[in-house]
Amino acid sequence: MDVFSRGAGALTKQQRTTAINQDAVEVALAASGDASAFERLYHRHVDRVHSLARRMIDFELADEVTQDVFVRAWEKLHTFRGEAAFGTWLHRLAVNVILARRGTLGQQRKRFVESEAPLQTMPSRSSEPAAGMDLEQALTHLPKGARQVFVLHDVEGYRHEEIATMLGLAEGTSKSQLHRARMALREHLTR
Amino acid sequence: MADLWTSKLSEYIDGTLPAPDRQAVERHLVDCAECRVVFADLRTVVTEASALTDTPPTSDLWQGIAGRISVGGDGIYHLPTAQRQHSRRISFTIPQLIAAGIALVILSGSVGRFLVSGPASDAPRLPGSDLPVLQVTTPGSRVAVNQALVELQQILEAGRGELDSTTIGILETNLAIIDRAIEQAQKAIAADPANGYLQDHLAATMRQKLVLMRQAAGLVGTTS
Repeated sequence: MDVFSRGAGALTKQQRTTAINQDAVEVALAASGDASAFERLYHRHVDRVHSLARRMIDFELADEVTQDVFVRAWEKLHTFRGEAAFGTWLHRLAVNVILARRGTLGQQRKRFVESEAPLQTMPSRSSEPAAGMDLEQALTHLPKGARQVFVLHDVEGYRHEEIATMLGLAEGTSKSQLHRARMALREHLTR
Repeated sequence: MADLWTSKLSEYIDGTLPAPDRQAVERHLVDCAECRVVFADLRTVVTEASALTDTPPTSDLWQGIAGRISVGGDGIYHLPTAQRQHSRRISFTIPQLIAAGIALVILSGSVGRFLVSGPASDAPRLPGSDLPVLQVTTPGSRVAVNQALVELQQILEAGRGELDSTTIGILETNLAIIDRAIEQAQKAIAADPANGYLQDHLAATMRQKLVLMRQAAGLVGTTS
């Protein structure tokens, strides 16, 4: 077999770099039981998972939830079929783990209804704000429901339809929670 | 400014308003300075949110994860029981056993020689040279291995010019041996699909190929 001859030179150096799908190789090794490959996947993706957990839940729980996500990923790795990028698969898994941590859907719905308290507790923007850090801080003061929808939609890029399914909400509720979160953050950022 | 309008601003920013509502919001924004301010602020919030960067945890969490992944007394990580296929009673014919044994001897010899004394001694040590015995043979893992092999092959095809002829010769010889072993295993499995030993052998052989091709791809990377 000549593995080199077919299409030789078809890829530029940059394309080749892109083609080096490190994740695909590591996933294959990890799926066959190589935990060192899984550790490399961990190091490549931990920032994103931890940031998601920190924004969706709380800073204090982010470490623990991040570990839960990676343990779960290890357990479920054999179900990864490669239809999507590993990072996408892991991110969706992380969202599921985080949402499961937050309780049952019924409890969540209740929380969405109950969390209509105004956001006056949100502190004003610091005088010399670093925008990202400031927004991260402000997020922690949002009601849980609005916070989840805001993070999933505006930070993570999910659509309302997807968010509604994930959170067990009506799409309209997702939209109204998003607007509510944005207005609250706007109040904070412009004070 | 009225809630009627501000409530539509988020959807206007997201581009999800129906056309009549969108046009109405645009007309209103022309006339209402207060709503224009809110609109600008909301856009700032959305822009800042999309620009948030991910940051690492303050401490390394890997040790905690590794501790929760099963580790045997042999130091090898073992997948959870649920991931393993149900153990099967080993049942194979003498010819199958002989063919598998020959393939293993060839693989452990020729591939091992290449991995140990490969052409680029200063090449980065790639994962896989100290891999534990394969532990799972799920269809999912084989799909993943096949996908990785395709991608590695693309890299090797593109980087052929960066490798000397001796290296290419060694690689092609060893890959041919491995491919023959894979073919033999697949034929044996076709005749005896329930044979767990053969399933494991096929997975191990595919993994050998993955490791070899990965090492070769690493050589391409280091010489470019």
